[in-house]
Amino acid sequence: MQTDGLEHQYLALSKRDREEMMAFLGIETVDTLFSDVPMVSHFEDAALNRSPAEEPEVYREVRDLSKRNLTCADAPCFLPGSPRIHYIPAAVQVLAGRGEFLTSYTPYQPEISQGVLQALFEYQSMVSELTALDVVNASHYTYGTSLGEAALMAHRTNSRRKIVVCGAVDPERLEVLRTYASGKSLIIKETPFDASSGRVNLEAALSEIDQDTSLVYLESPNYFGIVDEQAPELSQEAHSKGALFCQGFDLVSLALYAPPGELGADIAVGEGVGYPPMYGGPSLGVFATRKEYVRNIPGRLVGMTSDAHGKRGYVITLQTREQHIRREKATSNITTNSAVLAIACAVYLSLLGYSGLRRVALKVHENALLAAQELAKVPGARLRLSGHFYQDFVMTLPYEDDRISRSLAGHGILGPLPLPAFYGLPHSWLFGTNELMTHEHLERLMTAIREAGTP
Amino acid sequence: MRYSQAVYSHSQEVNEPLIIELGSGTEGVQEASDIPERMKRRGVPNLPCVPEITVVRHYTRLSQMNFGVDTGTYPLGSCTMKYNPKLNDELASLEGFSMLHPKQEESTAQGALELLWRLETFLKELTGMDAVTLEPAAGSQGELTGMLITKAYFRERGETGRRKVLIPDTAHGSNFASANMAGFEVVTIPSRNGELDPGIVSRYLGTDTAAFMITVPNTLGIFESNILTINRMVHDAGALAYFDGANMNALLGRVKPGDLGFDIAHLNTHKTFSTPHGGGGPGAGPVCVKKFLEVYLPVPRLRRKEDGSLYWQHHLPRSVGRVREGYGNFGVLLRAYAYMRRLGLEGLSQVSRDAVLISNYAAKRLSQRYLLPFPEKPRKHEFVVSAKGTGKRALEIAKGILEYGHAPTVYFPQIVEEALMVEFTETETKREIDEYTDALLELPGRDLSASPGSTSVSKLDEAGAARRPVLSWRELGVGSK
Repeated sequence: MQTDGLEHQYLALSKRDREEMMAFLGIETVDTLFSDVPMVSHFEDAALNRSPAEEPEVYREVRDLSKRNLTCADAPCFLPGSPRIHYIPAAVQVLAGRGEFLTSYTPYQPEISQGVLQALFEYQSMVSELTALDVVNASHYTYGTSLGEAALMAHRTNSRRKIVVCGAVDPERLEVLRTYASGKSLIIKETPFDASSGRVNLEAALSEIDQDTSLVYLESPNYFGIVDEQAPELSQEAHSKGALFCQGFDLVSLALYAPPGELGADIAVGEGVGYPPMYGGPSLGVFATRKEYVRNIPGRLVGMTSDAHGKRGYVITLQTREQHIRREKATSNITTNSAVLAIACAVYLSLLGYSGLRRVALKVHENALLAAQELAKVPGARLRLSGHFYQDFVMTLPYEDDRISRSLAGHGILGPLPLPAFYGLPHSWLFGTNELMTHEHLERLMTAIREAGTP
Repeated sequence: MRYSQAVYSHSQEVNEPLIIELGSGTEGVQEASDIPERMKRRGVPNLPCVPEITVVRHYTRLSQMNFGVDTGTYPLGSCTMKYNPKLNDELASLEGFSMLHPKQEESTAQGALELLWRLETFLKELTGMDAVTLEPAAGSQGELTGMLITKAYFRERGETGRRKVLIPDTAHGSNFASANMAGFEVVTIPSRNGELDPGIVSRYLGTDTAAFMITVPNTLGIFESNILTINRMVHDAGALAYFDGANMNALLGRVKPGDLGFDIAHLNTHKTFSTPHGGGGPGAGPVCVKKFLEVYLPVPRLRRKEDGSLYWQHHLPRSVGRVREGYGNFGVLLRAYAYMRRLGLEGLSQVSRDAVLISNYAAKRLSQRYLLPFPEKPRKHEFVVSAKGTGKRALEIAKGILEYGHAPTVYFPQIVEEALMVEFTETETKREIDEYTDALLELPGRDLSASPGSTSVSKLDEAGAARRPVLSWRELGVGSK
């Protein structure tokens, strides 16, 4: 039997406090309060240490584990796709990590939570500006879960079941979409990409859009890194058949490229910026839509209002869509989201502004062009797809995949990734770049690739 | 013990302006030559253009207009707003974790995988389950995952007639929504005397029941004392028993959901295992299952090779599929791991003992003035009192208490009128609990018409906000284009 004598920094009661409380309740032992629990389980020491561990011990143990990893801060990183690596100004973590933000709950009591609410309102506003869509919710878990929710929202809007996925979509994201779609038995139809440009095969995609289509989805930049200018044709066809059009986007790239709202998107999904990759999570799923769909949107929304004295204030609004009020009729089950990452994203965008964001996007693009150009100098290597790329690109390399992999690993380089055989582009590699690529990184990459070709 | 927020008042109407009102525009933009005209962005987005100090002051001021566990008592029911140890944040900021990319080869991320493996072992032990997925990004995504597992299980068995999920009327709204998202029909089960009654439950169970989703202890803070009988009935009906772990803080190190007969259990690391709530997120919602359901867990699954190295298995044909990209909210999960390591089993079981002791202590103190339903039953980690009969409404009490700290959850669960749902957690000191409960005892006797008076804004017009939604600064026409 436990004596309730344990003192620990994470436990605020002293032994004496416990005794006083038990005396107030007229009980001899805390076990009395568990009298209605029909059993006491047996716990194995082997699984979890029995005694508490001191802070230095845990710090050392976990830090030692961190040392066993190779990071994209140390290694040249040519990994494509999500999560995108960008430099995060020091002020972002300092501000978004402030305890008043980080240790608060969902701001259901708005008067005491204006800080989180205003920061989220600013996040919504900035993403609305960048996407050219009116309504941005206060976040989802990831890009892919935003996409899954988009499919469910389209189904709620038009009661149809068919989702047309156009061209090359990130395969992990597609898997997430399938999982979200499975609950409501939505049907996913994939249409082919054009093997020479990497864009959507427009004819094939258009012919798949019909009266049963609920949502048409295009990713741009797509899985191959190609910015696909055919969004207007796809959205037009979707609308003419009564379907919604959703575009997957890259937030930083929107400093350079036409935003989804101007290309006919009803919904736009993507990921945020301003937080570290953290082995893929937590992440920030961005979700934007047109105002006409606001009552069907999943997730939390922050709105502006005023207080009893006419002072400006912010609240969570249109809550009757949400699970805590509408239960099974809610537009989503989401409650915990990625709020503090949305705050980090707002801080990041505030620090950079449009000019700064554009500088980052230009540098990303410039580095992609530079890397592609250098790689094309390897005899037999060529840029595989002719479509316009922004950050990622596909190169065909003239050596055995295994040799390249081994050589890259030997030089301590992360990425690129060989395209799965499924795509029918043999010996093709998907490269990703970012604004942090240096000449030294690129030289190391070139050395590794050349060595793969040396017997 | 009174709380007043630090507020900069820019004007009579505005405290801290929007960041866009502090400076907007551009510094002149470079052209990107190779982008085809048709693809180029034409309009300039209305983003802030301010020096770094302005951003720092702006968000620092906003943070000061916000209340967190670091600020004071935050006794939201079922939210388990416990102290978030700083060690955990420090560990999450180590570059060896924060700068890991999920698409790296497993061989370059063995430290991270080892941590996840150990965490899986801890969670299996604490829940009494055989297998766990760390993928779900939040409790409600864990619920959805659990429901999809249920669906896959019955589909494989050819029992497609099991369309219904039973959920008690005391449950969190997300249970209903998650079951619906997975394609189930939801049936609400009434409780009796604050608990599930086997007699009532039996009337709803049948060959069309897929699962019974139960939160234990329930949201009244009462342990379902008939849970063994009920889970037996659920199994006899051929259905699965689902444990919502939102209130696991009451059971840590004492009883395993697996031992109570549950087949599936989700946990909330941001409640039970001290990871910060972040103003709404992120969290993590691991799902633990009994052996016979393991094959349905989402991909990827963490596996160990004979040489001891860890890897991800991606292709499992019977799995419900992938619920999110990557490998779970690693930055959250590692905090939960560090928390469990710091406490050990002994510490974790003291957590639940203290949380329960505090809850009963505070409930008894408050029952001097508030109605405590079912007073003969002991509470677990939380309790609900009713403001009915105090002369004040729960909402008035909630707004009044903001001058002392954060409010409890109000008007939930719906089965108690004028409900105030209180959960202090084991990380509140006796002094703070006494001060806070003293304040709650005083409040009904005070004039609360102007409350809250010491927060950055007074009572906000929520109805107006919903009638005419203003959801971005685009709609205000602020800043310069």
